[in-house]
Amino acid sequence: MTEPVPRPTAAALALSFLGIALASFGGGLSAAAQRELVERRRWLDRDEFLSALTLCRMLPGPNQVNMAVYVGARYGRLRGALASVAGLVLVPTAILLGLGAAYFHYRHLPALDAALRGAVAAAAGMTLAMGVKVATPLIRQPAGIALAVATFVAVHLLRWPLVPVVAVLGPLGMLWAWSRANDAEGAE
Amino acid sequence: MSGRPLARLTIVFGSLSLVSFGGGNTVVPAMHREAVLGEHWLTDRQFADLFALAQAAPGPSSLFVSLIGYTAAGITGAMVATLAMLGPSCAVMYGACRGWERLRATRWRTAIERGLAPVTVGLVFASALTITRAADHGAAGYLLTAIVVLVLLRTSVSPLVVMAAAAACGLLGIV
Repeated sequence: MTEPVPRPTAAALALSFLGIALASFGGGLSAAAQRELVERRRWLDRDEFLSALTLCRMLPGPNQVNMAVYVGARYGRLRGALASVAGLVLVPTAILLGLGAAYFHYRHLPALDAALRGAVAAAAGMTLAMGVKVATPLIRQPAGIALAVATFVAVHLLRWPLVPVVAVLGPLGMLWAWSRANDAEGAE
Repeated sequence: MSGRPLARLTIVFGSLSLVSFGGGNTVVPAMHREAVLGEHWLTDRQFADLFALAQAAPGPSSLFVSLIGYTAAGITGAMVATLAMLGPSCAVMYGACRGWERLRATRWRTAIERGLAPVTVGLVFASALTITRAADHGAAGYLLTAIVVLVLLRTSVSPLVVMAAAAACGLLGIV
């Protein structure tokens, strides 16, 4: 195994992920992460980045945070993982808490109230757009659609607690995907 | 500061962390249920406003939990909520990094990956509607949400620009 670049220090990992955090808005693992990790630092090649991204998406937790754990663990074990995650979340948390404190101080101002009305409509739209993106590959897969609808109905309409709902429907989904993989293999 | 909110924050976000497939935005309905309906840490409108702040601010939007923790128990609450939300999922990720390469291209991996997608879809839509309902906006608000969805899906405009434009619509009294 050849390492493409010298092993980064914990500080270098933290700084890199701080940069990624400050360059990304609206959630999700941004293009900024790929630019920094693959093109600029060369800590991951493109294939490994995509493979790691898959792992980040299939495990619980925010994709960006999971990617920080992956890269940190690869180059610095536990210490590297902690440094990367700290770099990613500490400054943004401080910024967000500052914004939150300002919000509670100024929220009675009519202008802020009006601007937030618009911002909330956009935030809901950003979340819906993410839903549409994840849903697109499910079109023409009746069982997948049924599972998505069941999850939605259980959580939103019936207001069942989310943890048990996911604990039951998640494995059902995996069972479905497992049998589909079998069918695909049989057809080949 | 009483220990009760801190214990609640730890239990609630610690367990949500382990089911937050697709990121923190999928567990918004459970956060709303706990923070607004159950504990009354904040109102519907404040919940929606803070969610929008977290979306607009740099960094993972799951850091929204720090704001909920803040309303429950100040800065300590913010730290406890953030640690509870990130700790368990990070631990799982850390453990999984090792076995990942061996699992490459096996059917297990495909099943886990694809099987969770439908559940994530259901959760994301439930989250979006939780925010919409908490904001309680009128027809113009829904229209603006629909326009944002179209712009984000059809163009490559930055989400930050979209957010700023929507806030401007609010300032102008359109929504």
